[in-house]
Amino acid sequence: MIDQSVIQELKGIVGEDNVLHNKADLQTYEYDAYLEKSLPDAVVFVNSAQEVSDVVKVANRAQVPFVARGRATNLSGGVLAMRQGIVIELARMDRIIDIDIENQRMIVEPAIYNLEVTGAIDNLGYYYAPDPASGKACSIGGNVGEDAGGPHCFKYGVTSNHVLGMEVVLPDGEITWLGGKALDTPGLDLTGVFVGSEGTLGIATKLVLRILHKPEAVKTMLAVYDSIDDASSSVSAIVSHKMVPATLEMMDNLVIQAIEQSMAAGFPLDAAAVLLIELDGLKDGMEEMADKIVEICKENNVREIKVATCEAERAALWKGRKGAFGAIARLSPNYLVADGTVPRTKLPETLRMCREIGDKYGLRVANVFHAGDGNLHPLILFDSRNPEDKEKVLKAGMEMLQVCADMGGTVSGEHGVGIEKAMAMYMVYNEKDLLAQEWVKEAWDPQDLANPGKILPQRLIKREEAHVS
Amino acid sequence: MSTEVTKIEEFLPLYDEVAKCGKCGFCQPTCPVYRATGKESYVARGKNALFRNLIEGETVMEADLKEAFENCLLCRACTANCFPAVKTDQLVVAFRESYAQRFGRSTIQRWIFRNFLPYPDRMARVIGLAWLSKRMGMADLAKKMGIVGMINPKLETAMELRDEVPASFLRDRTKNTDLTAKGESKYKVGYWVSCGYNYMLPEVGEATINVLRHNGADVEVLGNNCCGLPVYGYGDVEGARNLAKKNIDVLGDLDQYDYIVSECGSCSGHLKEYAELLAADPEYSVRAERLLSKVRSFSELLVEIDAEKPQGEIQASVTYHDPCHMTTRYQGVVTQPRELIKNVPGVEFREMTESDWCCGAAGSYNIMHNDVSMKVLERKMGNVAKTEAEIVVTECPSCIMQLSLGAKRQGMENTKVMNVSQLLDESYRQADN
Repeated sequence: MIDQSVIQELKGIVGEDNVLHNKADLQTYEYDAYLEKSLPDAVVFVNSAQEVSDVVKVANRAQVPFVARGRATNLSGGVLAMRQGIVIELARMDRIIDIDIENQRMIVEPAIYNLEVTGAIDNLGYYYAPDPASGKACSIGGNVGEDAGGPHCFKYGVTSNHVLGMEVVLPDGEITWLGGKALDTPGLDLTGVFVGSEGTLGIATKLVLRILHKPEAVKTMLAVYDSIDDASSSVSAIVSHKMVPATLEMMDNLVIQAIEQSMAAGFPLDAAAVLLIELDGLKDGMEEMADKIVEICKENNVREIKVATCEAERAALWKGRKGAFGAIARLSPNYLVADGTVPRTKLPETLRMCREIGDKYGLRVANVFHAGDGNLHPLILFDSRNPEDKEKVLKAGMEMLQVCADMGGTVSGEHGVGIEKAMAMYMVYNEKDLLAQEWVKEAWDPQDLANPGKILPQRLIKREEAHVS
Repeated sequence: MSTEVTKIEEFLPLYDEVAKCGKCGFCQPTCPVYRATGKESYVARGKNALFRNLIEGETVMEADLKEAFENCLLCRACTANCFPAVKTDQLVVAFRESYAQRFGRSTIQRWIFRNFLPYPDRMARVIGLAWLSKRMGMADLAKKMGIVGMINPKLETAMELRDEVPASFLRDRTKNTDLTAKGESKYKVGYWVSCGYNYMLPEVGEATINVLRHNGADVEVLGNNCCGLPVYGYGDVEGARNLAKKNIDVLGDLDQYDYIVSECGSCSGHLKEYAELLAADPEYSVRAERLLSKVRSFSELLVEIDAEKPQGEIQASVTYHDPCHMTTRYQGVVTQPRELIKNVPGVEFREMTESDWCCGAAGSYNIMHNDVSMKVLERKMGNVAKTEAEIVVTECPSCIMQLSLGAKRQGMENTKVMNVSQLLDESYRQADN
């Protein structure tokens, strides 16, 4: 527990009503969308970089850990206060600071919803490209923390390719800027280091985003398959024909069942897999490209291929995909998603092995994923009311990540490492690699107060030892 | 820790429901209270977590939890945007019920639910006195002297919600007036008297009755009590069941009516839920089902009977606010009011962003949690302002009063707020003149 005098100091900064510390309130800040819980000591609502800085300075003086939190939709435990301390709640910092159309930049505060960024510039003909399926509910600050991806990242790149600069509060409370509106800044790429650091290097309070022209034309297709292998080979074939669709999303039968129960998106219930393929770009040449894709899919035994003829049909198909994770709740109360990535050509084999791991533990595995960039999301279904199931699920998740690593892939595609995958870091890095990352953390946060116990396995272990003693 | 743990047994039937929450957070952007405050305990995910903790003995029923469950508008926006459709509103009502059973209700609340709302005569006498004192300036005087605040600080807020108070109630106004169909008599319609219109906005009820008569309805003003929704919302489920039964008794033989209609979305919506509320009662559940087949919201009925197209021209831009209980989250009467509005000659209809977003009134939420309610209202009025419409139409007395207050607070003095029936009535009258 932190000292009452610290609570009083925090209240002095943000006001009495903006510090929560009774148990009932704290219990609503002990979770995120991952499976673990950890109760913080206090929650502080901040409204400006200055307030964040003042709170961080108090934490420094009192040697209390802190963690930034926004919408807490993250899947790997990133915003859990693993060593208790202060949750810095950014939910009210959700303003748009600047829309600079001429330079295709936008400056926003961290808690703005991903979809509301595009919503603000849509009528001007612009959009923000990274589109995590949770875009309606997740914040840009969270996207930066996790270096979030999304269906369209196959063509456009992930968050780090679209965040050019930021105002940050460093772990000692200093407010500074990294990067800026320009595409590149002199010296080391500190913006690049910060994106994906999951709040372990400080707290972003303003973000400079790159915004793009909306494409002139969009074409969305749904390809239905009787076998997952055929769907996978279609993906490889499309890419090897030098085509870059905006998205190549795959969903397997279990996911189709869940989506149709939840929202009737029009996916055939008996299909082994569907591919959601979207083309975007100039009108010229789009028809030819679409025809070519249909042809490739046919060569790979597609059962049926539907092209959305209007915006409503397109929206229905996407609604299904975007709601896929949530829809899983129709099948089972909880799931763990193993966010590994493999080379595209290894998809069929990896999927098979993941299914075998599920069978071994008697767990159902549903698949919905970014096939284009080989980013799998096997969803392992269980009921968290049964503690044995949870143990099995965590083991199965780790084994699946090991398979991804063995296939020449990696253990995290876009959901961050958090606490979930800290131990899995050993699957892809050796001691020296990890030491290099430790040095970075040391340099930014020598006191280890900013979201401690995350990402780096040594630090996770330290936490667990601390618990045992 | 050796805290004594008491699992809340009566919540166990809802364990499967709450366990469906995967904490994905999709309820957040759609929750009006969360958007106004950013507080996790005010959004469905937070409530679900606390409710589950109560079942699993991770927390105890205590005063600190009350605030979380009080701060819910029961608008069901969370459930509508939840993939497994967790019925958080049911959890909220269950909590409120259980909390009151353990810690009791305030004397005044208990008295209102059990001894006031079920007795229309008492209600009329007391509210009549209150309005009389307000008209005579006594309320102002009492307020200035701090007397009202001493009795109950919330009363001051309640009094501010309404500048003008009606000189007489709707029930009195409809006595000794002609309620028969104008022209050919086609239907017998039981007009359900909502408390909101009866005591606060009787002119709306008069307009509704006029429109019904205009469309061949012989109207009978029903002798009903409060529908019981406020009682249910506060978690007095037993009290709500009693009111429902009492109302079913008062209505008597339902075969005498072709329809039972209310231009209060909350009343019509709640009447349609009587069957579910009384499901365990073999006798009344059957009668409630029968009632369900007769009940219509005002707009629903008018479109169903293919109401006469109004001819009187109203040159105005109009937008529509969906009361929560009219949306697909409750009775799903969404296209009908729009159709009726668009049918009025001269009207330019402008759809508003987030038209089905709660206005923050939510019965007495605007009195009990005025600060948050006003923030919710600000968002709504921002969307109203963007349409630049001259008239906001809706179908709920609570919404009418809240939106009128919003217009006043935002300096939108020229924005009129009215019920669908009033717009139609005005058009019919103009054509008649």
